[in-house]
Amino acid sequence: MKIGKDLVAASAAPLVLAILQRGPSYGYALIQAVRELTGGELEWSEGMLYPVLHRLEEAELIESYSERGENGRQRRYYRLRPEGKKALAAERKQWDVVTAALTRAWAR
Amino acid sequence: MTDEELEVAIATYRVELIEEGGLAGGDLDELEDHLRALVTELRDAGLSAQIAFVEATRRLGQPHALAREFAHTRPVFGARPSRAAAWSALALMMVSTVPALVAAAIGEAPVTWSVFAVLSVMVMVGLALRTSWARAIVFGNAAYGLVVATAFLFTPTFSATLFVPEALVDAGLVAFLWPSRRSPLSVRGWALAVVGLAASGVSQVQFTIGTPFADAVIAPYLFGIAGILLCARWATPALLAVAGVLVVSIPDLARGADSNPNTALMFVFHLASIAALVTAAVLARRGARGAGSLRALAR
Repeated sequence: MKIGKDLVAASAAPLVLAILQRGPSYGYALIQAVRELTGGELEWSEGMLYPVLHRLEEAELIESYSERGENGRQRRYYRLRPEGKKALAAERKQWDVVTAALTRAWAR
Repeated sequence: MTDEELEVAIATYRVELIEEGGLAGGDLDELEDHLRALVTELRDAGLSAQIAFVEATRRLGQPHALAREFAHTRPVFGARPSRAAAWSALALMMVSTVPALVAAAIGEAPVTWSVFAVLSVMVMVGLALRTSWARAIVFGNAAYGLVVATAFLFTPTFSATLFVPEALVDAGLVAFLWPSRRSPLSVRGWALAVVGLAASGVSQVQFTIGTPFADAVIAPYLFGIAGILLCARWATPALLAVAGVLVVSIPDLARGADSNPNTALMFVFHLASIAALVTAAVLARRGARGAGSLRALAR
């Protein structure tokens, strides 16, 4: 099953925020986490993750810092800011409304 | 494919990204790190180096498509300042400009100051909104202020009360808005920052040399800056026109030099202004998109 482009785009930011709520992470590991969470159904062009991260950083919902990764190279990590936690909570309420509405609509 | 050939392939991928333009050093490192992680994962799964590399670039994205996507998120003039940096810089700017603004408002300042007052209010609003263009302009002007203060340190007319407070404000602005690897200026942002360095030459022509050059220099200079802000192609001829006027006015500068104790410095600033204008013209040309649009100012 291929998920539509618009839906992928809309869900990217809340997914990233939700994964970062578990702890700081970096690009490649974030993609792995997305793949795990979606059972591989949500196909991202992996490079497109970074513009999403930059947008979230610019909005000051997340912040990045440099640290040596397990491979010995400097790596850019991202972590959630308090504002990001709030945004995630708000985002979650909206998705809950949408999914509840869809579930009810499909049950009829 | 040997390990060396794989390294070459990765380096080539990086070069292709650089050639697309618009990606900062940190972006390139991040994408390369990701590419390497993908190649390692796929090789561990049993693929040959060659096939792992091809599959890794397919999953990460082709340089052209990636660069286009990055360009959408990167504001036109480079990274936006963080809230903390923008507001700290704004507070510093107010310390130094509010007295001048008051003087302009009650009509006790020359007309040029009123132009300056309007422009600085515009830039301060831009800074409050954390726009990438205000950041580039303020950074360029503060860097220029620091250079001037340092240069005057070695002249007989140096006055600590006149230069030190200004220099401290400028040093603070430069520090807050410094274009780091994580928060870079784009080509257009550098054009805006560099064009500020030409202010000394332009004001020298205005005040030291006077007519007929004074009238010929200020309009194209403002046009040039407006052109960069709008990403317009006409920014380049406007800036080159200003550079031309500065070149033509060199003999007049030499004639008026006798009455000025800082002659050598005056010439240095004049030549540096010409260099800054030409550099800004080239950068503006590289970043221009057609006749220009206001959209660039949104972020």
